[in-house]
Amino acid sequence: MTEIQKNEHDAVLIRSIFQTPSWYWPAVAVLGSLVVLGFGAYLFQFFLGLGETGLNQPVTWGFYITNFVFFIGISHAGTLISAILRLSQTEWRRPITRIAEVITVAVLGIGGMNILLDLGRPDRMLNMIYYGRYQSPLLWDMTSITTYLTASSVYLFIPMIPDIAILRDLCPPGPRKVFYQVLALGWQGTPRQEKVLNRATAIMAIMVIPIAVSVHTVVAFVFSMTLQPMWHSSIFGPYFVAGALFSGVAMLLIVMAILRKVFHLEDYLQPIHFNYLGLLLLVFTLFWTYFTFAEYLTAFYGNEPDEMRVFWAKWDGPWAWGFWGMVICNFFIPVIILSINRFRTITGTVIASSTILIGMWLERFIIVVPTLANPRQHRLPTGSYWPTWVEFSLMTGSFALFALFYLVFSRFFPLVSIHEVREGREHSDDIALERIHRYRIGNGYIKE
Amino acid sequence: MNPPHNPGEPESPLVFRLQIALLSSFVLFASGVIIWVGRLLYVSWKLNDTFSASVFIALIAVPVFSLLIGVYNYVFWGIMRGGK
Repeated sequence: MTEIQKNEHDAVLIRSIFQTPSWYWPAVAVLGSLVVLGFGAYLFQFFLGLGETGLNQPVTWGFYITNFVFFIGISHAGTLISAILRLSQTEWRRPITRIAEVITVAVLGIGGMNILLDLGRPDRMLNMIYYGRYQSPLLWDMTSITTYLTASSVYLFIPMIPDIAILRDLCPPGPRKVFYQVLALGWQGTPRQEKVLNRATAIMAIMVIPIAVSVHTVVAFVFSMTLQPMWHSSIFGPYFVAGALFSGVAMLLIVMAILRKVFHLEDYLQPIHFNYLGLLLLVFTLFWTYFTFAEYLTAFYGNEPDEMRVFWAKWDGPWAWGFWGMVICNFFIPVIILSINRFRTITGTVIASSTILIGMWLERFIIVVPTLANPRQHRLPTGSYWPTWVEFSLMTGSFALFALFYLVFSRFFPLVSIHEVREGREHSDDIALERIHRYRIGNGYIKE
Repeated sequence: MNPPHNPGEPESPLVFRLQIALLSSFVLFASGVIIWVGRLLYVSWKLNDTFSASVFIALIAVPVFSLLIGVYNYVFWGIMRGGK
């Protein structure tokens, strides 16, 4: 019997890998059907052209680019929770780092895919590779997203090696054992291997933070480097990064709540995790509100006619539903729930996170569409946009693909890091005490 | 420490070959990106087309991908040898 099988608590972390839960295949079937529906919609669009979508002149970006910005934003969950909390040696991070890192890898791929969906001729993507020019922010985007996806995948893989070795040892002979053997790289948990792993994880944690910041800054540059009204703003970079961290934490909280329920991770994902992340979410709510206020006040005070056309279109024009929906979902509801201790429960944080995800999606939408509908070129008529079933199907397919990725991942790897949790269980008291000793005034004094 | 997998026995040649293939694929991909960025840099210099922007981005992308290759190799060989 191995250590993990003896430990009742940790056994739950690998149960879904060796025993298929009864709901698993029906869930895969439902999500798979939605992905197939999305794929069918894409084929329809591919053969009949973008005329089958709601995209038109002058609104050439709609749901796809909104989803692209939204998904790339969510990818910041992994960086924030995993890298920042790991570097700051925050103890409560241990059960949630993997969950956050998987979100990052999954949504980056899906976000990038939405760019391809927006191209009527996806083969023209190759032009970026053959004839790319770094004068274009689109190429900056391509480079930074590729870098972030590669770094995040490596960052997900490295801390997973000890857990893969546990699975390798438990797995009966067969192709699956070979799969784990290959990925475990001969891990036996020797001090030398631990040293290599810890050093590499630290390097990657330091590395992914600036890369993540650069990714969403560059996504913002795609808009702000143009002269379009309410896009050409110097705070768009940090505004997008703040929004990305905001939506990333919200998505993490929702995923944590779902996994806690379906995989019975109650002992690992405790109310205290939701409380701490809820507080973090409250801070980001206020940050986002501050940036939004600064952005809109500057545009309003400048009173530049083109800017004001877009401003009023959002304030009380055709896009007011999106703007006020965003304000309610991103500010009023989360602040009420998250600032009151009694409401900052698992249910409370999940409700606040859900409204934040809706609000952040609306935020991306009202950044993209109203500006294109009211372009600076006055010769163009005021545009309108409403998506067709093709865009709705592809959006549903994108979300289903994200959930499906998680389900498939859960069949092969533990969603909570066994190695990190075990390390915390065995050493966190000593680590915390040593850290306190380092900064306590009158070093070495321990109050009885 | 985990119970050792096949104590004292090396991984099978098939596993080792697959591990090398995994490492090679990663190195190939990351090197490909570096070469691609280098090519864009060369073209922008040749055509006198926003060379400064290309240099700036290459100065970030090339070291990052080089570091990724280094870290991956360090983990790969460090863990493989560290178990013996």
